[in-house]
Amino acid sequence: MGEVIVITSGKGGVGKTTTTANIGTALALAGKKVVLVDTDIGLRNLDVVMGLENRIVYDLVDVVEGICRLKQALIRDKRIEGLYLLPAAQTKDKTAVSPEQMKGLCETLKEEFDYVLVDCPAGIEQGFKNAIAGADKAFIVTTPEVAAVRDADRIIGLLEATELYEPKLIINRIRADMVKRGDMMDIDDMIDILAIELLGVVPEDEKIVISTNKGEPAVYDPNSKAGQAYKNIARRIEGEEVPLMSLEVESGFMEKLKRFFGLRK
Amino acid sequence: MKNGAVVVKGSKEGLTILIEEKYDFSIIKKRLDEKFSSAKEFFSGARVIVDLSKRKPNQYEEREIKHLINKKYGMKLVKVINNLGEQMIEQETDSKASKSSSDRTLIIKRTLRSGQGAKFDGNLVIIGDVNPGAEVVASEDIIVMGNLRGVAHAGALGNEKAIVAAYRLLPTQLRIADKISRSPDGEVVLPDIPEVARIKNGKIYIEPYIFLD
Repeated sequence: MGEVIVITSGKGGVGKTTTTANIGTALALAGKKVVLVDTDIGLRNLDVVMGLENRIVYDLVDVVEGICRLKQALIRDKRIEGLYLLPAAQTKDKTAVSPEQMKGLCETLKEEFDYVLVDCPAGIEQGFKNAIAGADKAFIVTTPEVAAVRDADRIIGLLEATELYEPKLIINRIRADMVKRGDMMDIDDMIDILAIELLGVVPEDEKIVISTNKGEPAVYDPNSKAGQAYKNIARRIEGEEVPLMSLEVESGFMEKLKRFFGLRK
Repeated sequence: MKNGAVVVKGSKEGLTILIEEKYDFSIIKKRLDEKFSSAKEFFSGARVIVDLSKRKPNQYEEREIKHLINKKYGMKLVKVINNLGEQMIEQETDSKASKSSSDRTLIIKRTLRSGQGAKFDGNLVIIGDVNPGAEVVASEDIIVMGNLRGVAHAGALGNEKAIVAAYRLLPTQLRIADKISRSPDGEVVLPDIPEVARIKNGKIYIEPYIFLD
């Protein structure tokens, strides 16, 4: 029996879908059986990020409406064994599915898979309610922006109200140089407000844009710092103790030289 | 609005219905009906204090008044007072405690997050944080044993003596009675000590909770 984890944020554009794709891929690379469920009905993206758009025949709405069997709608990943995607419908809207139906679907998927990762749409309306309906755990994605943290806080409150306690936090797109200058909220500021356990910190990485456009999650790229951070998150989900990686920007030769001579700290 | 037997006055606490003692209860009922039945929509939800002056009602009359105001006219009976120097019906709270609001305290043992809030007719104590986007309202004092970053409104029914105290007082907006203040724009100096806000000379002042001489 696996577990259902919803990945949510409240605010849009903070990286829920990218996070879902990368954590899912990393877990599958570690030998787990994983299914990614896109609940953003009408605005599906996860299939694009995974590079599986052209394989969609049936979708989540077809499954709950009984038009196809669950097995028919599940798309096998093109790269790794054990990774599947249940795409959202693009032509319907969020009301096409009810929380009860989602709950049933999650129950069924849990029996087959080690991890069911549910990619939640932005907002707190029907789509959000559907996404969290069957979840056992929740990961909150936020960026170091006041608005994103505010929304994350709201989401944590709403999750508590539905008895989904102890969500874990993923801080995305952090820039060490800006934090150092005091131009960006640092990790402690965010933990201070949200007061939940930190699961991982993902640095801003332009390789994410490239990987997303190519439909190839960043965890495949050994040089991607964000990819490495997602791999660490996956290991923590598996119960391993992995220290937070250093966010220091790689310094150039002159910097190192200066530091060597004690000119910089 | 004076046509004998029943006088209605507006006050900070809501409407006060003054019932003159010399009239018969049936006449009082009739007058109440004349005043409120026609303007039910207008008065709906209003907080009402019934002043019986020197009249000493029997149980039946008391029940009737309560029923008329709460049920028939859709208003909210806060209390019944008289000139005999005693308070008879206290506001209906869950606890049904016969205390005035300053003796009533609600303790909330958790953090209030964005979109959440608490409202209480009495004192409010939060053991936890009040995050930005959360709102706490009390008719008396508000004490936050944690960071107050959201909106706090103490003395919400007009009590200017109400205070807001917090372990760290960093509110988005602070209201006491009908006074409103907000955090300064731009650079914010973060306090590292507990502070108290109260009204002095008609303005909200914030000062350290512990005075170090």
